[in-house]
Amino acid sequence: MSALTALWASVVIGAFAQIALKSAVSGPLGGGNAAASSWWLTLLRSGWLWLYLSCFGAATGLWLLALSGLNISYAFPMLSASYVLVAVLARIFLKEAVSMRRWIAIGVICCGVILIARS
Amino acid sequence: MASVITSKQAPAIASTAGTQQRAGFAYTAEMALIVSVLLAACGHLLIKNGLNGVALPAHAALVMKLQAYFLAPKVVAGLAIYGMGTMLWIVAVSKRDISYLYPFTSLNYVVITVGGMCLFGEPVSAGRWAGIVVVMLGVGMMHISTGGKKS
Repeated sequence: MSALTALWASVVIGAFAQIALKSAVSGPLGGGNAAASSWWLTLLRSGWLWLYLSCFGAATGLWLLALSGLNISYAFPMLSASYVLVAVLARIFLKEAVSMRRWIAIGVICCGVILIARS
Repeated sequence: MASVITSKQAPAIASTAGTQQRAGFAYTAEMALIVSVLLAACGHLLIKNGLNGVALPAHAALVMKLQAYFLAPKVVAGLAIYGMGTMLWIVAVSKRDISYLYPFTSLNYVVITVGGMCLFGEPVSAGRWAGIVVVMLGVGMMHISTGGKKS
């Protein structure tokens, strides 16, 4: 696996991790009415939490593979592509409303990522 | 859930404490924010430094590479420092709106890029700097425009 492939895989899996985390703390856990102790217990029994932790671990491993072969001044700013991906995935999977102003901000971040990728 | 309660109560506590002990506690969140940004940057730079020091055969298997990376002392220390930065970030988030705090985290791109140049002699072109500035602008827009609302 090339370092660049590892970098993009880390961004994609890291973004899916955030969606899994949001799914874990949504639903019955989202109301904020449960007592703190049972809130954590319910969270620990959620499959989404374990999916989040697995994805997070995989993304960290891939990040190390990427960073071992790329300059940090290139690889680290490229991680900002995850802002864009998380917003798109949240729109698709969590049906979150994304305002026009936020789409414009996402477009600006995309432009920045493209500039860094080409540098 | 605990952090949600804290963030709702924090302004009231801060306003009463602020009149008596303004000098000591007024900027706790900002201090936590700055230190968290610096720790995250130091953590990633230390990880990079540790990875540079790992010697592997040219065609080492993926599992072997990962094992070597996760066991390298500087990589482990870097991940731990990054983790400490995350804890301070949570402290900052519990005291201030995330929409106010979040854009500052993109300062990491500048600190890490300067670190890459100075510590590892990486060449950084004007185009890359332009990309970093544009990304920071976008991050600022995303959080300022929405007021950081959570849905």
